[in-house]
This record gives sequence, C-alpha cells and structure tokens, in this order.
Amino acid sequence: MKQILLIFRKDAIRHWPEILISLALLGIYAYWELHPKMPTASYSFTGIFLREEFIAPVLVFLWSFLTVRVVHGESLVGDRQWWVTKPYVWWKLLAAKVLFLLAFVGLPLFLVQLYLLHNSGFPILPHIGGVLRMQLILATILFLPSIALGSLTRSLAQALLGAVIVLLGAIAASYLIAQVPSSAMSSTAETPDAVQTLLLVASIWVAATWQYARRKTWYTRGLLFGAYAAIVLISVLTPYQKYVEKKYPLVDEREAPAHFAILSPNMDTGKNRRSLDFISDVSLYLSLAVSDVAPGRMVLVNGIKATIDLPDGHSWSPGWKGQWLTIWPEDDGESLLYEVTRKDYERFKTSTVRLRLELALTEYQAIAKRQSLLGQGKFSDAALGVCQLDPLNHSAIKCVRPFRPPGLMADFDPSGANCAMAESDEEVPELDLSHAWLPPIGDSFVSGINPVTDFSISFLAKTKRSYLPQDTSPRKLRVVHLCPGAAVSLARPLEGRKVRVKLEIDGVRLQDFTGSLRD
Amino acid sequence: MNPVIRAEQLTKRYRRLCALDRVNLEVQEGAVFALVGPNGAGKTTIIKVLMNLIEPTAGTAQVLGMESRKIRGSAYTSIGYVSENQEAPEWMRVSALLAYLREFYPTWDKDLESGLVKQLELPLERKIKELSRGMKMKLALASALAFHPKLIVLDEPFGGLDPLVRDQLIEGLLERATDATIFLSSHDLAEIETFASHVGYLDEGKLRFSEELTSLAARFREVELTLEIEGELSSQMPESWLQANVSGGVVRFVESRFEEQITAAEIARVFGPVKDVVFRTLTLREIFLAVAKKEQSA
Repeated sequence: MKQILLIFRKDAIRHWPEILISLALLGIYAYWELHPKMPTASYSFTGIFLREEFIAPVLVFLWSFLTVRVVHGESLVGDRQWWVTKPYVWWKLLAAKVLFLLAFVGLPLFLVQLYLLHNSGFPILPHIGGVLRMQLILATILFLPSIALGSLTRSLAQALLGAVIVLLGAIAASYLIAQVPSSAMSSTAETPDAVQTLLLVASIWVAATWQYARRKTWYTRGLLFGAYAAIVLISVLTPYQKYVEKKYPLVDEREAPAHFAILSPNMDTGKNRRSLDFISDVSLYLSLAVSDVAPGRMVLVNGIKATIDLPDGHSWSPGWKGQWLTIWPEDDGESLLYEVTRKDYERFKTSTVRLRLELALTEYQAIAKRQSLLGQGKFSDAALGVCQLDPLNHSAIKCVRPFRPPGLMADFDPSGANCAMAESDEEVPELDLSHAWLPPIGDSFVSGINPVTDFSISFLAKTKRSYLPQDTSPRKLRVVHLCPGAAVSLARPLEGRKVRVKLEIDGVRLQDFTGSLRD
Repeated sequence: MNPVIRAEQLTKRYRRLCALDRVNLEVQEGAVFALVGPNGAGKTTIIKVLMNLIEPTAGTAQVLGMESRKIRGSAYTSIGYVSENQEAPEWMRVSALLAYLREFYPTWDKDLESGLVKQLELPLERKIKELSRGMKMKLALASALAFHPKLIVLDEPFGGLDPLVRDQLIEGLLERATDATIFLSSHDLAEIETFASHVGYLDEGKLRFSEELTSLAARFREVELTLEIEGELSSQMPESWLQANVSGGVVRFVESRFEEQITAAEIARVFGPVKDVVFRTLTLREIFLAVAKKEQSA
C-alpha cells in the first residue's frame, strides 16, 4: 500500500494542473446540466468549447488524455525508462494509476452525479447502486481503453496515432460488417454479440494488465490485433439470417398478432415516382394494409426482408433490414422503407417480378394500465419521474428520471379532455386516439455521465405519420394537443411473442415502389 | 564462492544481427568486473539481458542467484543500475527524486545519501531537466549507491564526461560501494585499468576472454629480440605470438601466454640463438589492441 500511495502522490504532484482543469470542467458541466437554458458562455474560440453541447465531449476527451498522461508517467514501452530498474511492483504501479483515476475523476464525478440526482428531486440512497454501475461502465468504455492505449505507447503523439488507428479499424470493421447480408439485425445474434463484447473487453483488460506485468509491447499489440481480427471474423461469419429466423419463428397468418397485405403500387396515390440517381442506395416504399391488432396491444415491426422472384426462376434478396415501426389497433395502413443498392435496383427495376416480404414482429401488451392527469407545471409520477408539458411542443410531455426512460405505452383520447386548440392555416387538432411509445430498456446498461436522463413522450397524430410530401393540395396537419388537467392512459409494455410473417405480391416492378410514402 | 553473475551460452539476435553469441561469463562476489570492447560489441546488450530489460534469444543468465528473466520488482532492491541511456523523470527536482526513491528501498541509507549528495555536489533544488549530463550521471550513481546494493551495474558510466566528473564518479563508486560487486561496461580502457579487478573483452558479440586483470597483465608481454643473422619471420611461430613483425635484425611480437622460461625456449626453437631479448609489460590498451588486431586479421 505504501508504494501505491507513493506513486499516487508523485502523480498528483505532477498532474495537478490537469486535475484542476478536469475539476473545473466537471463543475461547468454540472452547472450546464442544472441550468440548461442559461445563455451560452461566449462565442469566442475557447468559449465555444465551454458551451453545453461541447462540455461533455471535452470532459471525456480530457479524462482520456489525463489517463494516458498518468500512465506515460511510468512508460511501459521501451527499455530506457528510469523506473524499470527500480523496485516497482507492477500491480502496485497499476493500482496507483487506478487510484489516481478514482480519486481525481471517479470520486468528483460520483459526487456530482449524486448532486444532480438530488437537485432533480430524486433520493440519493436508492440510486447509489445505479450511479456506481454507471461509473463501472464509464470505466470499462473510457478508462480501461485509455489505460491500454497509454500502456502501449510512449508519447502523446504515439497515443494519438494509436487512437487514429483504432478509429480507422472501427470504421473499416463497420464497413465490412455492413456488407454482410442481414447484419442490420445483428442484435438478434445474442450469443455472438455477447462473445464479441466479452472478447473486446477481456482483450483490452488483459492487454493493459499483461503490459503492466511483463512489458511485452509487441506481443500485447498483437493480442489486441488478434482480438480485433477475431471480432471482425465473428461478425462476418455470423449467419444473421438464421438468428433472425430462429428468434422470430414463422407463424401462420391466423396466428399473427396483426394481419398484413402488400398494397399494389398502382393503388398508391403518389404518381410522380422518381428516384434520386446520384444516391448510392435506392429506397423502396412498401405500402401495407394492416388490421386486427388486438385492443391493448401494439405490434412493433423490428425487421423486414424482401425477396424478388424473377421470371427466369431465380430469386434475389439483400437480406434483413432493421425497422422500428409501431402498429396500433386503430391503424389500417403503414409504409415501410427498404433500401437496396442502386446496382441491384438497376438490375431488376423494370422486370415484372413476384415480391415476397417477411416481417419480424414483436407484440407488446399494455399492463398495469392507469390514468394520469397532466399537472400544471412540474408534476411527479412514480414511473415517469418528474415531468411537465413541453412548452415548445404541445404534443409532448418532457420528463426526467434516474438512469433511463421507462418502457411505456401511452394513449391520449382528446374527446375526454378539454384541450382547446385554435385551428390555424397549417394545423388542426387531432380528434382521434393517439399513442406514445417508449421501448423497455434493460437495467444492465446505463451509460453516460449524468444519472438523470431526460426524455420526451410524444403523442403522434395518426395522419402525421403518413404525410405525403408531393401532394401539393393545401393540407393541414393533425396535431395532438395536450393540456393541464387532461388524462392520459399510461401502461407498461410487456413483451410478448416474437414472430415472423410472410407476405407476397405478384406481377410488380421495383421501379413502381420508388415513390414516396402512402397516404 | 557463488558467482554474482553467471551467463551460459547467452545469445541475443536481432533478426540477422547476432548481438551476443553464446557468451559464457562469471563474475565473482566482490569483483569490479569491467566489460570492454569496441562500439557495437554487445556490451549494452549483455547488460540489458542481465537486467531483464530485454530477453535473450537463447542461453541463460543468473544474477544474484536469480534467473535474469525473472528479475523485476523487489529484485531491484539489491541491484543498483546506472546507464547513460536512461530517461530520468525530468520534471522532478533532485531532492524530490531522492526522497521518492528513498521509500522504495528498505536498506536506503539516509546518511550515505547525504554523503553522496555532498561528495558529488548535487544541486538538490534543481530540476533534473536543468542538469548537465555529468550531473545526471552523478544523480543516477547516488540513487544507485544509497541503498547498499549487492550488485552495481553501470553501462558506459563515463562516456562523454569530463575528467573531473569522471574522477568524482569513480571515487564515489569505490569509496561508497566497498561491499558491492561492480559490473560495468566501458570502452575507456585507461579508466578501468585503475580500479577494475577483472576484465572481459567482448567483440562482435563474442567474449574473447574474461579474467583477473593481474593475470591478464602477467600473461601479456611485448617481446623484442635481436637476431644474430637478419632473416624472415618463421612459419613455426606459436599461435600465442601476436602482431609479429621483423625489421632489419629485430623481431617484435606480443606474447599472450607469457612465462619467461617457456617463452625463451620457444624463441630459441623458432629463431635459434639470438643476440638480445627484451620483455616489456603492456598497458591494458596495448593488450586489447593486440587482441583486437588479431581478431580483425582472423
């Protein structure tokens, strides 16, 4: 312990200017979080970086910089460092660096996080565990890689170069993975995803520890490169389509949580179909008739796969693409977007083909349903946190809550409320039932700096979702108007079945689907 | 007596370059062992292997009974290492560095530290980055001596230093490290001749010889003999005669296995009766030059 404290004290003496800057920036960050609408500091060059939107990234960069600097204090690369032939014990050296980060970053941040919670009206004690989990995640995604970066480089220039190499590697991997069919639905491949996450975190952890223990720089760099190659290889070789089809088993139309039919493109009201030739991807607008969503339920379209059967008997499909489309009991039609590469589009656009669609669906059931009256000004709700009507958007409720937004299915029936809204040239009040939806998020992952998360519950008018841009006739948007005293129905979404349904339409051409969204 | 340093077949290769070639070496306790050789001979490499700063490609080395690959952490409480290539924490003051290091060593001698600071005239309040090269070496030596190490390893400690600083360093070393074994590398032969007890000669990664300085001095002689009849050098000269040449009736060579009676008998066998024979002792520099030239011609 004595050696740990010695090194810690030496580092604190050496890096006091950076520590002071870090603490000052943390103070400014806390100030902006507490006064988000205050006038900005200034528009000078330095002032720009102290503005609300920049302060968190600057803070994160500074912490990473400080970590690398502190690790470089006893550089682990090369054989000329004075400390290498002194009786340093490697794990005590590493512990001293961790202690430094805990004392000058972790602890001040912890106190600021508790203060932000307290200031937002949330009790501290029940949320200490969550704050600590946030810190653990921040340590895993920021400090651990920064320690590894510092331990494998001997100067800031080398560290910067290393960071650029990591960034380029990530971009290259993303590009490569994007080329894999159905990789957009990679979240369904839970086992490979977990293996990759474990491999990534473990390799960085082992690299930093191994480098401290043995200072085998090239071996350690090789270990990280090997882990990177393994992660990319797993991504490229994972049969995403199989995972999607396993996670979303095919059901008969009668068993589906909603019924769908592809509308023939000639039923589309958009006549002036054109595609933008200079864009590499072409969007196909697929109009669907939907029905039979059970009351109190909602169906989420998670993914879509299109397959084209050509007249010569061949089939072609670019695989599964992600979607995020909600279908409520009142809905009778929806439009889906499906992107294909221009090269593929040009090959098939004029052919008369049979189009087959597969939809990956998740059904949610509203449980623990209750009515809540919207308050004047700020009001508290056990599930939502501290909320108020959004003064800039009458369709939304703004809330703050510890760590993450709640999963939510909300209904608003304007007929039961007395929220008068004057009709304008552009907007008319929505008179039908409207919905808001927040997906349930798991408890495990809480990232970021501020433990108080803000979110918006936006009620969308049904027609607003299917706005037709090229229709030039004067139209008025239907807008949901919330007001104090209005009752909204709140429920918790219970995830139900995950299923896959198949649809098809014959005798169509791809070019007929390149119009815009259906009314 | 157990050797403090023992190397067996120690080899270090950098791709095609063989920096150390199957070196066998022993340094006995209490010795002041000077490893000499030209630039690029492998002196720093062998020290780095012994200090576990780099790993050998083959062979083994033991330092204070420990496998060199396992030397780390607390092992350095017994070893003081000084190198001209070490990067010091430039931002620290001299006093702060000594105070910092003091806590790492259970055997740190505060009085010895004060004595060394005084003797080596170290400016305590100056930052290390403001020190001259000589001052930095003195600071490194002070911090390597103040904890009474069993072994002091110095890599080219005197290179580029002015004579006054060199003398101060040597004095400091000899006065304050009486119980330690000293292993140093140098290419300054005149310097080490004054205080080394043992010497090893490393050339192109090979250890040409390693022995006590007194025995080395005893077995090398320059021989000058005057022949009765002028003649050529004989092809029957023993291998131990180095740098042989003849000029007029005078033959000169360096005998590397000198024993007066045996050498005289060899001369009589090769040249027959001679008018005069003179044996002259050699300086360490002359011995190394003779050996080096022999290696070059080989």
